[in-house]
Amino acid sequence: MSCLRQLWQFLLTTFLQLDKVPRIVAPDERVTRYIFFHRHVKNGQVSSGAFLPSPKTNDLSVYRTHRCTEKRIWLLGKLFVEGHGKDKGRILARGDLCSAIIFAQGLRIVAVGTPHPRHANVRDWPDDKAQQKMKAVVLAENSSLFFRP
Amino acid sequence: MSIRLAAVTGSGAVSWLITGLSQESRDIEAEIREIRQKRRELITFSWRESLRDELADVIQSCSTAGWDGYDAEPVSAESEIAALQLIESLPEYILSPDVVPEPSGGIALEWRTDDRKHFTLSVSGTSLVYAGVFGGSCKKYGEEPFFDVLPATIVAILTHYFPSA
Repeated sequence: MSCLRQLWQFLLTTFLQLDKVPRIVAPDERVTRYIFFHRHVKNGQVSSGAFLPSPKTNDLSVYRTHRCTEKRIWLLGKLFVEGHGKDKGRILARGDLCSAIIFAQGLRIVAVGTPHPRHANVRDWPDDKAQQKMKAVVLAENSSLFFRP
Repeated sequence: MSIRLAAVTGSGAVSWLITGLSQESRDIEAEIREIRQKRRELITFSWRESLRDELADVIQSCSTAGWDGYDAEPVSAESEIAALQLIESLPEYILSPDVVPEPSGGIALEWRTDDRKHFTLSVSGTSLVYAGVFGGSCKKYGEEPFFDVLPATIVAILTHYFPSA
């Protein structure tokens, strides 16, 4: 039974990786940030903490979920975000926002392509902590929260 | 007696009534002041106490790297001490914030209202880093030195945009 499940997951992952998305991110695309930590969600809103860049890479990892069904968005999270790296925990929710909001903050969205063609990084974060916070607050304020079904 | 009972309820109208010059009036006024002070202390105590509990929960949940599902640094002991100092320095009569861990291993306090006011404040070394939006296009962000006393800029933001009900 476990072997069958693994085979099914492998086939599903391979099938999903056939997804084709343009390299350039358009200004009207939906961008999704998956949220693992319960304190990054409060009163039906996403906290700015969920939109701060990684201290290691200074990037914010997101998925381009434009024209994806709800089911596919959660599946991408499960197979390509939760499934990558050890002990990542379980995705609790996600914050969706329009790419134009990110661009308006002077940030870039760069397609990464791995582990899935829809994976992208938000780049060009300033080094100044206060400016970083300001941009994260604007992103959080303009995002919509969705809890995992 | 009726005045004394009414005064205990904290009604503003009652305090206007008690402005007499007699010894009894002064006693009642002093008693009202004491009762109000005690009520204030009780509210403040429970508010800060619950923040300290939240902080303890955050420290426990974020003690390992990658607690956010990505590359987050573990929350450090320095961050915990800084957050405690920040909690102690907050003014009275403001809304209670949420304790929010940050990927850098720091801890922020975050205020949010239904009318799109959103403010976040954290300690970084000897500085306070803050940023917020206050409805419409009003934004404020920056850094201020922090030595146990909250700078006037921050106090002004908190008391103006996030007063307690």
